[in-house]
Amino acid sequence: VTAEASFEAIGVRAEVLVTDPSALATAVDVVETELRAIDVACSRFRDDSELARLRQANGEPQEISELLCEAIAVALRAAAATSGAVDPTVGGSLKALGWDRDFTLVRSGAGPAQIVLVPAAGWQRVRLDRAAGTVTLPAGVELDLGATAKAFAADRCAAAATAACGCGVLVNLGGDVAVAGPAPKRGWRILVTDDHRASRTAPGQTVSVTSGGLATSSTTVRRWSAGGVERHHILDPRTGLPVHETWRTVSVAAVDCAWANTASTAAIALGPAAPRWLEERSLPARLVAADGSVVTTGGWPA
Amino acid sequence: VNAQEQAQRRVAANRIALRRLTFALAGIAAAATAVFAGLASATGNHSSSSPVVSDGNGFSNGASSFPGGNDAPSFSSGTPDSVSGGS
Repeated sequence: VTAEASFEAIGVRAEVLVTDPSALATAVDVVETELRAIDVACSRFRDDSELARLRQANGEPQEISELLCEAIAVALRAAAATSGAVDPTVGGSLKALGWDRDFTLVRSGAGPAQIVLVPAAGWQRVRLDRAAGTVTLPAGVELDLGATAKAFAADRCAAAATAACGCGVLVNLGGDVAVAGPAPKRGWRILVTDDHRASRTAPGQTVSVTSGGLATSSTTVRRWSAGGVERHHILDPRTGLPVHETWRTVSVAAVDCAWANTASTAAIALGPAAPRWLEERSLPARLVAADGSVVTTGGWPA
Repeated sequence: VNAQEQAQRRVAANRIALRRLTFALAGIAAAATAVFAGLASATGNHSSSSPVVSDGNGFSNGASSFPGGNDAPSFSSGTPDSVSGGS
């Protein structure tokens, strides 16, 4: 027997599932508290967030909270593990394409008539001193933690909720799924599909996981118009343009959700090279091509 | 708009080519250093195009590789508990 709750948070639909129904209220409370903290630390769209304040740093080292420090560390780890295919210094690139506020406002707006391409500044230029709790960004460089912060938050939420409740917990933040504690006997059943808001009967595949994380990246959901062309949100850091859509949706399972999301985002960015890249890392993945054909890697169930 | 975008793409492509050249030169220099130091084996699996992570970030290439050890998902035909999709 499991119980579940869902609500809107950090721009996505959040779900909390527990194996002990009596623990649901506590788990939801823990998750909401974690998400508020993540939002205050990592949001690119709140003027009062820590991340927004870094824009005024002008190249000087800035003291940051332990939470933001950890979130930036995860983003830089993702960049290192993907040789820069997933780069947190695309904040300026996204802004140049018109994504400079909450996405609901971007989608409903007309978008910029012209765009100026802004390649990523380069993650190697970010200096994070974890011991001192400081980060230094070159002047003008803006971080966007969107590729990893949600998955990082899912991992934190699941761990905190299971610690508080003593039961199995699944946290789903916009399709980034983390599980912690004892899973149900038949595992957590998860439908992988294009859109995390889809119904549980939508086309896709249902798989069962018992630990770690499962993340899905897709070019089909977050789309808007800029420069007279429809864009999606997964950028090639080298050009500042959305990547070619070899794969429309990629799902990856890994030891935690942050690693899973790193790989799923990288796979979209890597295009035709993605299946081999995933196999070399023994990552179970399901890749859906633009034409709907499916490729799997790393022991993903056929 | 298209002409402007094409021009910007060309500029971006030139930047990429320059960056690749820089990486390649850095890779050649690193390889030569390793050979002369008798440490060729220390280059491991990293290609010359893989950027070396600075100490300032507290990472090394080894530390940033993907961890293994998690079970792959298994097939399930039951009603899903949750949905993983793009957002």
